[in-house]
Amino acid sequence: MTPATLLFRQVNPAWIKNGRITSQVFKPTPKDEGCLSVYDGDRITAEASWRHYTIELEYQSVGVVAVMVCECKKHDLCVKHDPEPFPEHVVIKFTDYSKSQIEKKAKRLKEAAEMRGWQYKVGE
Amino acid sequence: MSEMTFLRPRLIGGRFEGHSIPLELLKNLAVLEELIIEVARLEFFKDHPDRQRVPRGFTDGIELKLTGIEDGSAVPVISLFVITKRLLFPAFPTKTNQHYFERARDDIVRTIGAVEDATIGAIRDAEESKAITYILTEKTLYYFDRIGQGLKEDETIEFITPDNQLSAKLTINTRQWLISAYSMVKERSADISADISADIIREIRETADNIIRETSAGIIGETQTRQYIHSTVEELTKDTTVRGTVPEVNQDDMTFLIQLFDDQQIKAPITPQHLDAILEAFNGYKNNLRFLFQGVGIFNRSEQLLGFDSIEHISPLDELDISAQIYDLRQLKDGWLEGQGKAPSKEGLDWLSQAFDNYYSSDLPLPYLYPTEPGGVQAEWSLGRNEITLEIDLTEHSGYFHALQMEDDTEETRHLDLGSGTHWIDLKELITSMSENK
Repeated sequence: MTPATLLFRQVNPAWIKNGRITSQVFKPTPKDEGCLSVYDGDRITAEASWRHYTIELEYQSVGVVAVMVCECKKHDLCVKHDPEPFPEHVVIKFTDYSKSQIEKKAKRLKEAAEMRGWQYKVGE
Repeated sequence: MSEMTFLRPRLIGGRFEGHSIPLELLKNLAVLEELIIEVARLEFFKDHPDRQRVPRGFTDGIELKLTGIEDGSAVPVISLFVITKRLLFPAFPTKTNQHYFERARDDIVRTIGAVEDATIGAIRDAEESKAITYILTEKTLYYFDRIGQGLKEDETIEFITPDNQLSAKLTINTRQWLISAYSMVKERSADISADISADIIREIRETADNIIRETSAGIIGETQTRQYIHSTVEELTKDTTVRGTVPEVNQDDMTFLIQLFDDQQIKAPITPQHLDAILEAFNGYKNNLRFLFQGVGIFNRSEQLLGFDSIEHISPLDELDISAQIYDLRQLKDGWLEGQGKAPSKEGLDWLSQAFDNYYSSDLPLPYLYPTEPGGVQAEWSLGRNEITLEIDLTEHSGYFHALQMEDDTEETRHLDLGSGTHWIDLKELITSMSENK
């Protein structure tokens, strides 16, 4: 991965409302244990990541948004390869931060992803 | 033409302060004239049981008009205009149609008073108990139902005769009791007499006592109380607001269907002024275009909405309408997020919906509502450069507020007890301040 590598994040249908995504898209949930799962854009395309997520893993996604590795670093978030679940799997680590710090970083990542726009969207 | 003050219904409640009366309530009061005419006819037949019809021109030369609004919350003055005092039977000069109008007025006030008293176990006199059995008919009940239709929980119409001899208060509660009383009267309509009227009053009072006792003891809740009250009632109409889509329009019989959020479909009449909006809703049905419908709803005895009697207002729903968003959240199933997301509970969403209704001012910007993985809801506002989130715990009725000013990176966090109205006021102030300082 390089600083310009895109990290693809899937968007659950319940997390988009009138075209606006929630900042939860970039916030680890309790099941994530502080590590947000993304796809390594150097190894897989956005569309292929969506197919893997919805067909292989059988989860729901309306599309793919992305942040760059450098944007994570800018907000002091560590990005780490975690190939155990599947080869393109990467985690963004929020483990050392307080609740308010996590909220803030999630909002910053969401802002960056929104400015970049959809990398893949179902039906477009 | 002579003019006399006929009735001074005193309107009590917040909406009537400053001596103003909402137009919708004036419309309900207009039904009073029809009720008085109907009861005047009953009074005539009471005096002339052998007659099949009232004399021709029974209502000619008599008009009821709103002639002013007096102080004291708001008091519409309804005057009776008599062009000629029609002598129905020249041999009995006191029996003019004005006479029957006045008797009708007194009977109506007595009837409302009797039901009001029955609910608290205090019947004033035999006249009062007679009135309730005599006046309550299917037709008059229809008018009674409409007079109080626009009343809200904290509002009262106090009817006072000009001589101050009679008075009675009509509230949402009394209105419901009138309907119950009607059912009891109807069951015994084969032999209505003053003797059994006392039994009916006693029965109404006993029913009222039971309900009050069981409600106080927590045996039945408010909703059940209403169902209990309506257990013998066929239909009830009241001001109603629903949200939904329009799957079908029938321009032959000028009706359309409203599909509510729970997929129930109800019928409503098309009025020409709303035809464009109804067709717009119909054309947007496939895209789930949601509208707000306000009018007079018809309910059955279980308080289930059966349809609309009339439609007064139709408008496209705000895309962030809270009820619509909460409806969407209700559709989630456990496992919605990567097999592990917990669906928000029905009870939790009911509470949230009620809390927004009660505490979140309609003038504030509406939030986007999203589910959270543990079964909660996250409300979000993007107000200029302020990104605001409120993570709501539906079980604890608490919230974690976080606001980030994207320009200068300043943050504000707050733990809110959303079970308390005070913290909703805090939320209102936070949102207001961030709306103004975008």
